[in-house]
Amino acid sequence: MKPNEQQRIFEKWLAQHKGLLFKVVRAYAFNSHDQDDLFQEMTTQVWNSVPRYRGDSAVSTWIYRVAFYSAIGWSKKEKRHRDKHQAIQREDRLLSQRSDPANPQLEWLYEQIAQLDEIDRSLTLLMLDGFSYREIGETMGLSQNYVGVKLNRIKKRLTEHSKEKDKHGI
Amino acid sequence: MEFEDLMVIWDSQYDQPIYGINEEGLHNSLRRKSKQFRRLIFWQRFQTYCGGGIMFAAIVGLLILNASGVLGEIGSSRALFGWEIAASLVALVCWLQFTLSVFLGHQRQKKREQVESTSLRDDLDREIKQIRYQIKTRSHIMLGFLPPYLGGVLFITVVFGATHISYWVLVPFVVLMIIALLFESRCQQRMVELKIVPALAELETLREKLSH
Repeated sequence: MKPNEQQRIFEKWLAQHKGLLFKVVRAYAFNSHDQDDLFQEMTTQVWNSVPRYRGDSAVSTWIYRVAFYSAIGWSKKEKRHRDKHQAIQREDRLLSQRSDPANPQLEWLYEQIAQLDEIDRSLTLLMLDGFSYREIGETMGLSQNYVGVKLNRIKKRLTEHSKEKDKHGI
Repeated sequence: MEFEDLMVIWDSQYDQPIYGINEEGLHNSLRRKSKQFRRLIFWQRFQTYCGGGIMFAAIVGLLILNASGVLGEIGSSRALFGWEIAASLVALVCWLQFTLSVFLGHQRQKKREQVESTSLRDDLDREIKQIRYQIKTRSHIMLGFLPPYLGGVLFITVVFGATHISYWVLVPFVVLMIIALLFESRCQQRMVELKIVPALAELETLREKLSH
């Protein structure tokens, strides 16, 4: 694939699906430096994946998969190298937080997602984005039944925690 | 709150994207990374193929000079003995084997990268396979590097013999080469133990979670 073509497709994907990348960033990285680092890692992987995309799946599921894979790899790497981490220069930052991010309920939901393990986090994001069990199974490489069992547990956990939150007025 | 309410909260983030992207910074970063990667690959291959090419040309050149009778007429050098011709051929085979094995390794790697995976589990499987291959090659680096080292020593021995340089001069060369090989092997072993094996264990744990 020619670099120009790769760049054109990448830019189109980024324009259409950046929201999806932001969600993965928020679910896997918890401070602005890490979010920037993870976003950079994910976009590099998405860029590299462009020539491999054959159109067998929807672009959104493809990007989700690449993003999850990068995020999982990044979290492992991040844990190992946290101490050695070097600060990214301010001018090199790729993500800037918009002025009014505060939606306490959404923040709470992301906190709950962050408490899950890496695989369950990926499943939850796909579920909340409205993907079917079949699509989730295909994206993750799991059987539909297993996806169903896992997601039911996660749904139950999230609703129970939300009820507790409501009860205690948090 | 019921699950449907959580979905409503989730969907509310579409109203206003939380981040802005520094587009120029992103493109610069992508360009920089892909340039660095291409440069690294180029130099790794250049070193191997260039080394192989130089050794191939030197050995073949020596054999041609010998066959044409020119070798015996240059300075104080003499024509090669039978065993020296055989040793030169063995050295040639050693270097060809090394260069070819590196080339085939690159081809296999390329093929592995081109295989399209259809799920996160496939991605993990592919990564695990690659890491296992790395562990295998790095753990047996002595075997991998033995042919070019042997080829190098044989070639130098033949050249020294043909030009009447004492074989004792070879000793420091051989000792240095053995030390370098042992050092490289130890470095690779440490890399496997400290970095690659823990990374493999983590990936296998994740893979385990997807195998139900």
